[in-house]
Amino acid sequence: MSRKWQRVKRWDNEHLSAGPLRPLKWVLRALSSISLAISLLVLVAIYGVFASVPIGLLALLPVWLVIGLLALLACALPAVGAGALVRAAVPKELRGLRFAGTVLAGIALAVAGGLVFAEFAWQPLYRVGSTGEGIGGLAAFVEDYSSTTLRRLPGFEMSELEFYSWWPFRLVLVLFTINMIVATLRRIEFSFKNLGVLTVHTGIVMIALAGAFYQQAKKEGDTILFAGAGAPETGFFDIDRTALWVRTIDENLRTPWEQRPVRGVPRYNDYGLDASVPEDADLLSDLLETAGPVESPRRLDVRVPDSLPATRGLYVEPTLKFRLVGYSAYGAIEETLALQTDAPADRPAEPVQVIEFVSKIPQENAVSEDPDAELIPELARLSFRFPLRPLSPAHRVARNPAFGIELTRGMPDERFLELGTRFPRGTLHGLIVTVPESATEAGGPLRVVIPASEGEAYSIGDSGWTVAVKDLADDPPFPIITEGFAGGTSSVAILRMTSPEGESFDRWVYHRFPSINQELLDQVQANGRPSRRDPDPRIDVVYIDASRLQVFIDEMPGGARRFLVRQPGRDASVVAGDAMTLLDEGAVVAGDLREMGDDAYGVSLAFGESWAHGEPVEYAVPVPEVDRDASLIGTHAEAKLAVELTMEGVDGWREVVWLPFSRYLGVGGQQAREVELPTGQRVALAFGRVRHTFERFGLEMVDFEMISYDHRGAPRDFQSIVRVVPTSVTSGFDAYSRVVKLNAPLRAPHVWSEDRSWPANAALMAVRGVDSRAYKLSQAGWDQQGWQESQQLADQGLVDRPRARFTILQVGNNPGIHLIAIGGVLIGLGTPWAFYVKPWLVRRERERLARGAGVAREPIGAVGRVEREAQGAGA
Amino acid sequence: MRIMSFVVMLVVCVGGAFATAQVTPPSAAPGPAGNEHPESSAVGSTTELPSPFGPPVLDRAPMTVEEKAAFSRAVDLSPLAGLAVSHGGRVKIVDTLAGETVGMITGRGRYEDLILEEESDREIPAGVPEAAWRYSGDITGIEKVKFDPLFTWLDLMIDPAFYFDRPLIAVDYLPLRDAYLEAAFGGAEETKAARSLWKKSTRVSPRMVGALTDDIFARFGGSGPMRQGIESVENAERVFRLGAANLLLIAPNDRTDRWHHVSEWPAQSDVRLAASELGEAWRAADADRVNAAVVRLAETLPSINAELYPTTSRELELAYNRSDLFSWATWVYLLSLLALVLAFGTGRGWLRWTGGGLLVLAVAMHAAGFIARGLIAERVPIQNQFESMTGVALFAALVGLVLLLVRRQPLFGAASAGVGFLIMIAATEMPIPGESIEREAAILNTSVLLKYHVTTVLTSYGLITLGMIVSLFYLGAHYGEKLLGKSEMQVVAAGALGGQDAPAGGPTNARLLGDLDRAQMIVLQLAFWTLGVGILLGAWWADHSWGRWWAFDPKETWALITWIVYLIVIHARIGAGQRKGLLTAWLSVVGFIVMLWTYFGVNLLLPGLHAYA
Repeated sequence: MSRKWQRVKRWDNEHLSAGPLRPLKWVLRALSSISLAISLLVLVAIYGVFASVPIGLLALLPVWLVIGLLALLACALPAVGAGALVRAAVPKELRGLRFAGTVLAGIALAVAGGLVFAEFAWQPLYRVGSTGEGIGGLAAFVEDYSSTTLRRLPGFEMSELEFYSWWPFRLVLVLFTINMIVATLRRIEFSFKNLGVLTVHTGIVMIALAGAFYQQAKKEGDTILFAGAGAPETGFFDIDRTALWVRTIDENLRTPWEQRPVRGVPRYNDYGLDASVPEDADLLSDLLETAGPVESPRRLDVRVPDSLPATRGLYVEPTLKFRLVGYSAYGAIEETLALQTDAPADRPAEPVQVIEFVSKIPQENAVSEDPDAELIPELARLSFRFPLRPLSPAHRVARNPAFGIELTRGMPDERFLELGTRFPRGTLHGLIVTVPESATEAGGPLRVVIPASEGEAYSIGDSGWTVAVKDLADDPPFPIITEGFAGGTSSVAILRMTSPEGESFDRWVYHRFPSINQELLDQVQANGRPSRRDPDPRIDVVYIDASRLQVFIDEMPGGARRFLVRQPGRDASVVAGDAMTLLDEGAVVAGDLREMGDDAYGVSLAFGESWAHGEPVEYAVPVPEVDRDASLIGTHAEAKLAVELTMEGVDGWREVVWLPFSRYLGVGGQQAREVELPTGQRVALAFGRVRHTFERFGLEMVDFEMISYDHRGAPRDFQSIVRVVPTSVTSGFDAYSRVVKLNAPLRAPHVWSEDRSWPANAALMAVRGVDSRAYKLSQAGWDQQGWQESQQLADQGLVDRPRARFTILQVGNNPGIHLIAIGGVLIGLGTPWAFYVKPWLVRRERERLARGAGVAREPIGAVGRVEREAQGAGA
Repeated sequence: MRIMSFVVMLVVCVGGAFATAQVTPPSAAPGPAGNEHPESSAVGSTTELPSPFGPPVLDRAPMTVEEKAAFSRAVDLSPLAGLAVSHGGRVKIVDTLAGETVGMITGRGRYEDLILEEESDREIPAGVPEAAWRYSGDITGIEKVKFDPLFTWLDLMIDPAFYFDRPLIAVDYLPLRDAYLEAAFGGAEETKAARSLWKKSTRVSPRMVGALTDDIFARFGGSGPMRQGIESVENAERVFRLGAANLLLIAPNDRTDRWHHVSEWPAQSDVRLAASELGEAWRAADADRVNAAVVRLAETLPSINAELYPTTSRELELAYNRSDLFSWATWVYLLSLLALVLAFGTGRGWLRWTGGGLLVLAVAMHAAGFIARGLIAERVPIQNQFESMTGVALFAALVGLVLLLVRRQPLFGAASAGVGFLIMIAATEMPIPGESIEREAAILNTSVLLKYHVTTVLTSYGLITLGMIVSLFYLGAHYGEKLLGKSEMQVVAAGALGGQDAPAGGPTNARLLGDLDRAQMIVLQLAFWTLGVGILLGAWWADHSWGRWWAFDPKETWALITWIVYLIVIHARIGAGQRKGLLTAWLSVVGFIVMLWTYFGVNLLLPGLHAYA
């Protein structure tokens, strides 16, 4: 107990022991306590354990403790026993032998015990530890929570830093800081020899206070810069704070986005995955007994704040309200239909027709689950049910590698005839080429029917056109994104066309969607992609995919149906009306599930249920754990958010839309969803990150380089050349360029000026340390794919060197970092003073006092002590 | 009164803390580009190229193990060992690549096989492959043979058929190994001996992997460890199948160009002809022709683009591989420890001198290995788990050696030898990641600060281990008096703390404990300081590299927790009175366990920014 502490306690007792000041004494005593400091430090450590270690692993702790103790016992017991035996056997006089025997026998038996443990006990115990086998209940818990920390559980939903910013931890830290300040003031003498501990404590307090300021004003995130973007990037997206982005769609204006930062968005768990499914709706997924929305045990209800008063009504209709009602932490958006018997009055109907596909299997090939059954019954079983939407190109087709079914409404007769075009028997892919401007002897334009094969080229009569077949693909190389057709798919013929003038280009001819055929020219656009155009009208090409059973069903005006069936390599058969026609050789199509031949393989189609309207309903489906990228968990990157829209004054209107996460809003597109309001307006919504603005500057990407080790070894550095430009006349600096590379961040804005004196510049630099508008930009990401692709082009001599299309910079301000650094330096310097200088000072003082008292100098060190012992023994 | 004080204090502080809770929570910092070790593919990208050694012969009976062993003894592949090869983003030598390849496939440094006695006439159980059954043989009369990794590496490419039914591919995860063997042999009693033999080999055959993996995945793929095990097995099988893609043995003519595969060179070039001749001679088991082809190949390869062909570093790498300095140092540490411990108990001066001398030798060997590795890797070799362990052990041993010399207390020597042995035996004998020399993560090689941060933290880890061993001595002295008796304890104390040999000159046990307490505090204070400075340097570096000085990354959190343990040690001693030494010793053991978790557990089990650590 220090003298100061004794003095302080005496003072407390004299002045604070009675009356209303007595509680103050309790507080001061408590906050001066070292036990409290230790308790708080233990709490900090425990908090850190729960923040970082999955609870599944923590649950295994007792198991591992048992394993460890058993292993220890397995080694220690034989060792101690062996030691005792040796000591009993060897007389005390043989001291060296006795000791050596004890040690060596102990080691030998400990090793033997360890080997026995490893051989017989380790595996069964280890299996408990690694797979959870053996302890009832624990296994499932360990498996379920093997990577789940406390902060990931529902009710917490915090990132690491959010968890450490939670009030319980802050409380502990605040208490510890106060405890340290009070204890330092009341217990430690302010003397030269105590400089070390005082410095360390001051350093810790500085870090605590500056850290609090740092945390308050800290902004961090990242920004993506594109080469040749044209305009400087003036902001960055927050590292993970999320916002709902909204804007009103106006065909004539480029309306801006409004961000509405949202708190309370989950991170790790699913909520309200069926939030967009109307109650009591008849769902197609239920009818077909396929996967559909599942009711979530947890609901979400988070209000999205309204616009700020200053911008109210500027971006979207102010009566429009948003709530978050569902969240899928790592999911995909699926769609089903809510079926209605009546068509809606206010918008186009979306009729739905179920087509039943029935397979017929003859006896000898039927499969029975009962191997002992004498008679295997003939099976005529319902195999598939396809819900087709004839008015939606993307949903009017059902297909697999064996067959395709297409249901249309009001197909033009010309198209129907095209589909039924005869080809030579055995043709799997057919082209119908028409040259409208030509004339034949028969009077019509030149029309050629070609059985097409990959790699073959065909001259089109004497028109001068040549058609070469480059590829006949089941699916287009790129997804169809044409409006109205997006999500649909079709086999496609990729043809190399050569005109009579010698111009060559590619034409993509779709089997099912001839209206979206297009041509790709050899000329490359500025972005490196080929130029596209509509098909040259001088030549028309139709592609018929006859490589699988194709069934076309068309609902004609008036309600009658006509059918067209084409078997692989055979002619098409056309049927009108609801009756069906037996095609040659037994393959069949039925209007109303009519049986075909008894013995042949066969399939039948039948019309199942139909509805006047199917309302698309989206819902989220969690991605299976095994398919998840662990690095993306908790980042929202694969998250989906359900937003409910309502309007004040419009009763009964409610819309729920699922939004995928947009890491960089506006880059990559497709993340925003549109909703039509009762007022007829349309709004776009997106789920993204909060965007901050650089207040004084903008950034442009000048160039990027990935530097590898020799011979294209591993990457050694990533370097972006970035230009920093002032965004206003008051920015206070001139534009400049810098290289940003790993471990060499760029600081912006630039404050050092040749026009100022050195001290003025230095003062500005110091002030900059607490300026939250000063940013540091570090190299964080790059266009790996673009770099590799351009490297290949460079290897072929097509470009001079590889290039990246974009670079990603991490952005962050650092308010108060210099104060934190000073605190760190104080700790680093104070510790050795406390450990090494103070004891030396104390020892020197004692020796001085001892000399003053006439006592001889005490020998120092072990040898000296041994000598003193010996002297003592002698005395 | 204390309770009242605490309650009042809580009430006062909750308000303030609640206010602080309203602060906007910060966000987690993502790792920037280059924050991970560069991906190192075990198989090069030139898998479409044919093997330059020619196609393997698959339509005849493979050699027996005896024949293979005799052939391996007859060939001399040493001229090939020092050739340069580009693999995993760095230019290394063939000897290194061969060792890594064999290690990855078999899970050990050398391929081992068994020469079994003549087959008995036991009937092969239904469903069991004949070759696999033959390997199970009679359990009696087994002779183990080991093959040089370079020989095995070439043999895997030239004569893969030999291995189809041999125990080649390591399956470390026992339940997975059981699953393979049960699928291959069934569970019948008559196959028990066969399963046991295979199980002990720790490996399965490529044919088992090819035939059974899909089914096993379908059955057990839901289990994480099983999935990881299967992935590892499939990787090994891929290296076995496509290992010839790694023959990037031809230097480019420009530093910006990549190394070339032998099969990319013209078919009539010297190098292709030599490789082809090597393959033919190998398949014919003609050792003389093989040796001639090896010499020809070894002469030809360095002559292609000779100006860029590495020279001196190859010799150093070969010497590093062959000397195995780390393993030797490990065992010398053990001898030193034993000698010093025996010296404490027996009081023999010559044992003390021997122990000290062995310690100096061990540290010298250890340091030589460390420096050689650094020269080969062209960086400070502390950047993966294996390297940091060797670094921790070296720094701790050096500090212990210095303390031994300065304070002349052999206790520090024993502790130093103990640290060296414990860490190095774990590093060299356990499957610690990073034993292969690889390129470092880009973010690591561009910062000088990193070197100081990592070195300081590793030094503190070494000191924590050193302190823990001194604390174990303390605990031994505290509790051991009952076992050894007072007089022997005095002898031990005198030996450990540098006193006289005779028991009469030794200190009392209380004095001994006092000295041991001082000794443990000398080390632990140093550990506390270096760890604190290391953490602060890391914060500085993190601010520079990641944009945030403290992100509560698991590694940071656990480093802080480790530091807190020693902070508690320092403060708990204030009120502990006579038992402060004992309290410190136990907390030192706790701190060591926490440090172990920080060092290994966090790296292996908790994802974070320190992915490369």
